Amino acid sequence: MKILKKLLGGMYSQLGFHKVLGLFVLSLLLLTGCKEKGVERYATSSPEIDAVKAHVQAYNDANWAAWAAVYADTAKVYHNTPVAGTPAEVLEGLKANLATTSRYNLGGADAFYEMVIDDEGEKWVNSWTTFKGTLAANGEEVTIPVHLTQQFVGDKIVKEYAYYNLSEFMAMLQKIEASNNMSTDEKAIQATIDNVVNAWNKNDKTLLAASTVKNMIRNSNGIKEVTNQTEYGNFMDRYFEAFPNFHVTLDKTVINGNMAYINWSVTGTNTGKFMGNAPTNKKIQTHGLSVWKFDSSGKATQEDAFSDNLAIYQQLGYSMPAPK
Amino acid sequence: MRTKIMMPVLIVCVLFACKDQGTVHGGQEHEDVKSNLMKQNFDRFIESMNNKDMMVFRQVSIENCVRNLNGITVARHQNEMEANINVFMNGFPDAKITADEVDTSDDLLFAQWTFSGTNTGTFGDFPPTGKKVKVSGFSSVQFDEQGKMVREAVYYNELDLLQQLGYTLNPPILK
Repeated sequence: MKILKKLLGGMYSQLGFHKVLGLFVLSLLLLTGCKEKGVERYATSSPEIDAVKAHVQAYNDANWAAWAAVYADTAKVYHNTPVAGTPAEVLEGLKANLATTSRYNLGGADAFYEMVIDDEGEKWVNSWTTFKGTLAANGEEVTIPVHLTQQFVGDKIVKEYAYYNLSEFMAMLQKIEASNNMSTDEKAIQATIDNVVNAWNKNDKTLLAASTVKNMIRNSNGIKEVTNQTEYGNFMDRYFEAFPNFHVTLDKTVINGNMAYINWSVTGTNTGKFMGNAPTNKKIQTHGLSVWKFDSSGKATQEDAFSDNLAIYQQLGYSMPAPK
Repeated sequence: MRTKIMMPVLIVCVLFACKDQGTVHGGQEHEDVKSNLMKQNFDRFIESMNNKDMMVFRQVSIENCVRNLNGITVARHQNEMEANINVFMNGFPDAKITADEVDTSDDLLFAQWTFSGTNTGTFGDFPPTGKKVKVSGFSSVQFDEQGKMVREAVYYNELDLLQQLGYTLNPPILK
């Protein structure tokens, strides 16, 4: 009562207690009414959201009859395209992609679903989920964020827009296809390349020795630097001492007969001594190309590497004043 | 009569056989022709740099030819590429590039080369040192269907080049 009197001040003294109380209750009702209207336009739980969740479950169970049942007969489906397809057409594409996986799941711990009713009264369920799949051919995993927005009329989806980036997935499939098309010799060479990269990334001399011939050669920018496996191992050590997180990635590999042309990138943080100089704690990234040669058993016999050492030194803060 | 009928049939059969044979070998022949054209045009590109005649370079490349230098794009057009090449040609007027090993695979040409010259001109921002240099490098060159250069990715050790000119590397001063 005191609070009401304080809140309404002058109005209280002019209209009296009952009228003010009536106005106050009316205002409360109006406010509550507005609030209820808001709830109708946005929800994180509704029969439509449940239907979408069941739809996702049907997808995960490969229960395609249940998956298709939620669509209206005239439903238009747009997956990463402005061109409408039918659910059956889209399903064909989904099945083709899923056939390359040994297991998959759509959803994820961070999955979020909401329903909105727009100004025209259309009901849309938006969802943000994650697709995780394991490729049957090589066991590699792929993770793709998926956004779907689906319009409901009654308990059926009449329109669906889906956005997900398949580029990484497609690149993985192309890699598998390229590997399948390789000859036995090319496969042996590719396996050696993969092992050498792993040997570099783990500083694994045993793996390096298994992938190369004893008297392997490394030329750096045309200058002979290594003439056997032990020296190659020492060469790796020099980089790992300076950059303990040294990491090599292959950007492009072309195998031609007993040769391979490899564009690579390396990264690392200089937390150890480099060429006798104190660590700078700076990060480096550089690019290069190596020509690898292999013997008939697929073992590496020679690497000719080309890259710019100045780029590394400059990133570490080294300077190069002009000669006097 | 029988011979008269058989002759056209035989001719048709031979013609088809020849046609098929052409198709079978056509793929390899096409690859060889393409590979030779790529090698010829790369030779002309090297020649154009050695003769300081960049018109030839323009004839063997597309207008929007791209050049990457140690992984960084330095040119996206013939004009830019010519300017980039001229930095070296001006710094080393007697520059000579020789392609030591050349190989092709599909639309790519791989070449290990040697650059030698005397620094008697201004090299970028640096005055001439009068010193001779010799460096090895590698180019991975992509060609289009007409055998014209589309992209050249060059890898070489600039540190080696500058050290040969007398530059010294100073470690950073750390606190």
